[in-house]
Amino acid sequence: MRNLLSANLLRLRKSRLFWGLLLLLFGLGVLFTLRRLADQVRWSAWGAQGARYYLTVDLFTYALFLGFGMAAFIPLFFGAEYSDGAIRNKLIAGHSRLSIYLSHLITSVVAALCAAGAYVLPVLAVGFFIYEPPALEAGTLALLVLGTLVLLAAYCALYTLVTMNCSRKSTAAVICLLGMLALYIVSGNVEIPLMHPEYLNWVVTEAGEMIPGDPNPRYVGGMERVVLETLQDLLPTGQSLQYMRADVAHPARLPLYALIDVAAFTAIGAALFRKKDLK
Amino acid sequence: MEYVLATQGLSKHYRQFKALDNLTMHVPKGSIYGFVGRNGAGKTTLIRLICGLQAPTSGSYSLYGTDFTQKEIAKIRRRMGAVVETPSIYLDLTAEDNLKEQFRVLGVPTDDGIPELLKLVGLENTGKKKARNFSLGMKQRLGIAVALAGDPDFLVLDEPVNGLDPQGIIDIRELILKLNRERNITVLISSHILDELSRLATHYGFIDSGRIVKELSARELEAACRKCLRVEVTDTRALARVLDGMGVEYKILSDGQADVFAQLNISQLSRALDGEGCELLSAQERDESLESYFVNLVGGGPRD
Repeated sequence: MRNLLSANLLRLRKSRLFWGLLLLLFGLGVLFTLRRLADQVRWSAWGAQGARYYLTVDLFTYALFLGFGMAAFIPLFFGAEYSDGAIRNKLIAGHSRLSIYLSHLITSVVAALCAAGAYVLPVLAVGFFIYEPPALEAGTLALLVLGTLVLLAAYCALYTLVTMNCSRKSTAAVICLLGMLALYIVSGNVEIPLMHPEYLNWVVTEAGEMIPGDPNPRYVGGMERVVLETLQDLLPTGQSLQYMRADVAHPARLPLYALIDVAAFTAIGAALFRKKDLK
Repeated sequence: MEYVLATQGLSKHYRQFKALDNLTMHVPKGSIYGFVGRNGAGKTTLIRLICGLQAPTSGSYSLYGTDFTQKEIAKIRRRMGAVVETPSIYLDLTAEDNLKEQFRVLGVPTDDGIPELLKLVGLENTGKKKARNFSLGMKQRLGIAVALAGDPDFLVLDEPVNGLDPQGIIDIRELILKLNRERNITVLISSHILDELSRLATHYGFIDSGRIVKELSARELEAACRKCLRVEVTDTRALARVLDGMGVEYKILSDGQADVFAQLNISQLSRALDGEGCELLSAQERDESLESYFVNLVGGGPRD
């Protein structure tokens, strides 16, 4: 396994695709920071004071970008193992299919972490002067950081499942990208009913107490809410949407759910790959 | 005889299609084994199985005496190198980087052996040129270099000269002969280019419709294809006496048939046989090439 990782990382270092991904994420990080800076300048010109953004507004956007970025990168990078036939060398060299699968997964996670770092770097460096510090407790912030990193691993596990079991890299890339899009649509639709508040308004009593007003007929409660929330927390795209808004209802739960995703995708993918007839 | 590869009743089915059907073959150690068959006969399927790319439907095979079901087979496979169908190389890497990759896959501690390997296959001057820009022959030689990275003693080459120009074919042939003679590497070459195989192989296995129809050494094949006079007589014992008397080499095939490996005067032979009370029924000159031997063996008709 160590040998396979060493070989994969060597190829990663030499890959133009990988450096292109890093450059893209770095560029997006710069772009987002400059956009906030431009907003601030515009607001300042109008004499307004309100244009201050919390760091968390843009910090975790990589969870979305890399969802799409890795959907293209993993099939194209590891799909070359099939198209160039190099996967045969690994099998003939006596490596087990499981170790080949896991080494690909680990390498793709390393690539995703590097790409996330390329995005975060300009956001933190330039953003230090622009953004307000996060209005979160350190523990919650750490959970969000951890959660997004495990989420990246979940995306990598999903795309590795497709790539390792699809011999054509272009087909694998299309499946990953369209699958990602489909999952986003599902998550977006799951989120809509969850966004509705339970009450249409709140009433202040004579004693100054806030009490709920009219119940919201569109509010989803009970078991249906539990199912939708669980689905949203389980789907990597559902997690991405929550991190992007920096509005995470269950920050401790999401990394665990992402870990469940990693384990499930890897178990399914490795089992299928074990049975696959290679050419 | 020690066999590097031995298969026993090996079968591989893809749904209803039998790519390999109860195939039994033996590749002797130190040989260049020519694996001959038409397109779709099952050559590549067998190679995929022994490389561990696919699992057999039934039957078994062993590498260096280790059965494929044993755990040790993974270690044993490290003793083999293979080029299956197309060279297994990363097209976006240089020749040197491709070998660095394979050295890491194999856990070779240093890259010191790379220049020697590149020289061996004649790619020492390719510099920073990516494999994508190599000619077919260069890619094929790089594929062989990658297969040799683990210093194997069994090399499997699937159609190594397919699509190569004449010079490319000569380069590959010389490389294979060099590896076999100087490094004592056993080579299994699948091909349907019989003329090329006949310049290399020490042993042959003929495959048709997923079955081995004949296995023989190059010497046996040469004998079978040797120019001769096939005679039919009423008494081969009498024929033997006459031919012994003439000091001629011959081979008795059956009670009434023999191959005579000499230019004979038929009238003289007929008279001599008459004297022994034997009749010469027919005499036919035979000069079989590997190609005609193969066609006779598997039949020249259309495929299924």
